[in-house]
Amino acid sequence: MKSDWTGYSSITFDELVDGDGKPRTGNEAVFQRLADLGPALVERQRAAEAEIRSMGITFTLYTEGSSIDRAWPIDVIPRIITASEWNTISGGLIQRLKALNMFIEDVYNEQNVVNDGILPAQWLEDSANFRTECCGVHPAGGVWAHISGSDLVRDATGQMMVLEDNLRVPSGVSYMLENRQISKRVFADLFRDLDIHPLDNYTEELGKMLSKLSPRDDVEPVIALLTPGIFNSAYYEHGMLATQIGAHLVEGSDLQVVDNIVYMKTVRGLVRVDVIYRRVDDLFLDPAVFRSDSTLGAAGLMAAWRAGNVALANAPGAGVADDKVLYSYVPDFIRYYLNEEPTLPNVPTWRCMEPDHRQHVLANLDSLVCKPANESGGKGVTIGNRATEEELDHLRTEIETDPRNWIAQPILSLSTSPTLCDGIIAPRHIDLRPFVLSSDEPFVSVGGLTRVALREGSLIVNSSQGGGSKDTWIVDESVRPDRLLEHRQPGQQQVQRSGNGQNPS
Amino acid sequence: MNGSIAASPENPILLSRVAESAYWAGRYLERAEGMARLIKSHSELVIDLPRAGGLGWEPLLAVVGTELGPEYDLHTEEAVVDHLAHNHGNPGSICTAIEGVHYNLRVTRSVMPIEAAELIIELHTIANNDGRPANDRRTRRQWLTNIMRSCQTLSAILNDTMTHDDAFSFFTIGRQLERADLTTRVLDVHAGVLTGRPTDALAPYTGLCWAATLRSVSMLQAFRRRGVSASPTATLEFLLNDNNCPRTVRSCIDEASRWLLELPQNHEAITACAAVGSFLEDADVEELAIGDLHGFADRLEVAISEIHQKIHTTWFRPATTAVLS
Repeated sequence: MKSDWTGYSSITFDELVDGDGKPRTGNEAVFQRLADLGPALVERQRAAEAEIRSMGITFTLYTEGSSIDRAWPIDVIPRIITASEWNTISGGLIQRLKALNMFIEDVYNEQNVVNDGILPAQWLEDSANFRTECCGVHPAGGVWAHISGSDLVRDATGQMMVLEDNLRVPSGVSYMLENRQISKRVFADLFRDLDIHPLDNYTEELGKMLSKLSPRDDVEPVIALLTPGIFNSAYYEHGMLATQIGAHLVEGSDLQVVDNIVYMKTVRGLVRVDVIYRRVDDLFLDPAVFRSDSTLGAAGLMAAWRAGNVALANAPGAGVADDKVLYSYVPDFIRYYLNEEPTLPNVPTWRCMEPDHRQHVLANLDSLVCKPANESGGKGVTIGNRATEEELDHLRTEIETDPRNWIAQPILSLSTSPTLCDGIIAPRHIDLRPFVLSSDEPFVSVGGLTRVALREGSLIVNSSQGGGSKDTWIVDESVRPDRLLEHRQPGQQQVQRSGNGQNPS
Repeated sequence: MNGSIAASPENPILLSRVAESAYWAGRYLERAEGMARLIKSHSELVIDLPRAGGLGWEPLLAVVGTELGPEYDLHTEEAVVDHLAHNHGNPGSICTAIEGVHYNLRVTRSVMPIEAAELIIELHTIANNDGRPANDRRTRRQWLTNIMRSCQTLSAILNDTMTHDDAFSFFTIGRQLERADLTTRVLDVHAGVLTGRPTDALAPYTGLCWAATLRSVSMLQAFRRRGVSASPTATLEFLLNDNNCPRTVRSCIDEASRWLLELPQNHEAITACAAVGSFLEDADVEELAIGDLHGFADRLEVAISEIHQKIHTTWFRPATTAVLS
């Protein structure tokens, strides 16, 4: 092996190399090529950043009273998963989403899961995203969460597990697609030599899935993507997806509901909308039903949906299972609805409203991660061993006051991936968000969005909090490094090493 | 729906809000380019003319109907140019216009070619460059040229790659009306300097002034090729009524009409265009060259803004809308 990786080591499970610093099975070719690149790797990183600026790939950061568009942060060193492992993961995701959709359909109708004693009625009623307005509705095919993005993490033993499910309006898929565009441009040579599975088919599958939801089968369906507007942090993604699937990018003010039919206002008159891929939260969808001050939705939308005249993806109320208390029951749901053992385990979770769990949590606050049950984007999360005494005292009070709103999990040592940090290759913690399209023909994106915590030792991967991203390569194990020899350039210098293998984490 | 041309695969459905943004993208793009050209040609004129002539920088402010804000102490060249080029607080400045292009192209992203999206980022970067390059005579010319060139490239990309659908119609109509408006404003402002009795010091330079007027709307070369001497009447007639040069008021209005014909329920907007057409036809350039050019330009501006009003009420904010079956 090339010597410039000898300085690289991780205190936890590393995605690229094993404990001896040797590439894992399936990673040999990429490992070899990265080593051969030497200092040229830094140039490729610069090339990637220049591409991102010129393509205008941005995300929006909100600070006090203003917003700034930032270039999307990408690290060019790919995260690699072997095709055989990926098959297991995607099978596990399909299994999970199938059970979750059955669960959502159940809780808005018969509630057998409660009647059969699997889930206490109280926890369901207290779920912040349980919408009584959705009771009695049967969306086509029993699918509520058409598009989901579950976050996967790998612990120190190498076990992949589900950290959380995002069944409301998961974002990030455009960055997954753009990261691939970028890495194809900067690593064109590797794409020639390796069998990296393509992921371009995501948007096509998305368009197909949405089309099939149309309540009218006699006309070409009109699909709209409902965005909160240009100032939303994911507007870039909304525009890109709408363009790629041929949907109309609409805002609430473009819609008008007449006699339970949804129309959009066009220069030639009102045009009926069949399917709405909505990227607006439930509570803002319909001022006549939810928040009356919302201008992001359209009055009458819920009635039109209940009448079956328009399909909403995801269905309102689908977020009921995003509640982290309900999340802890998902393995039980899989057993209950599918009579199968879950392929992908959950992260062990303590529910603070259960007295014995709470007792354990309160006694071990400094070694646990505590999370509010209904927040996203890392908001309100306290990592015990990094919190001050004051923060822990505050947390203790919050848990005692409102135990239903808190869960706790062990502090996972998330797996790492080599990442370019100021020209040095160093291990950084990562997670993975694959996207699942649920229908009678479920589809999982090939790989997903790998997010990386760019700060040394940090476990926070959110782009709003200093996180970056990587392209995720699903590769066949069969490619051997000797296939690459002909492209090796002799005489190149090597990338500067990351210290003496002492990488504190 | 009577008289409506239905949407089709060749001419896809266009949201009213997106149509409005396509229209404003066209207007702002033309505004940025026009303002850059105007500042450039005025700079050249000021350098040529004797200082005693009293031609200052205020006429430029009048073109856009703006005044210097309290942040500027004096009506110096630097203050006026800064206000017109870099001041984000001035709705008529180049930077504000480019913000407008940027915003509206993001809204219309799905109907605009991807190359255009990449170029607008470049234009935005030039416009928001560090420093205020237009303020200094040494860097002004290059910066303005870069702005103009990027705007023209963007127009060309849109012209050459965009499907000629409703979105394109609105974009083009926006550009043409803005261009007609700018030519009219230039006439209006230069009227004070160029008609009636020029000051003694300026009298020998009226030819230069007319040349500057033509140059500021990019028509000097076209005019000279016609081989007509640059008398005030010939210049005026050319600026207003020439059929072939794409920047005359008449050409802009004709072009706008042509694209309006592609749209449904276009009757009121077309009628408003025709009214501008007759107004131009009836113009007595002999008299205007020595008379009330200012009043004429004012009335022309009003007639052009009437077209805008009709477009607004017909397509962007219609009172009632029929259901397309």
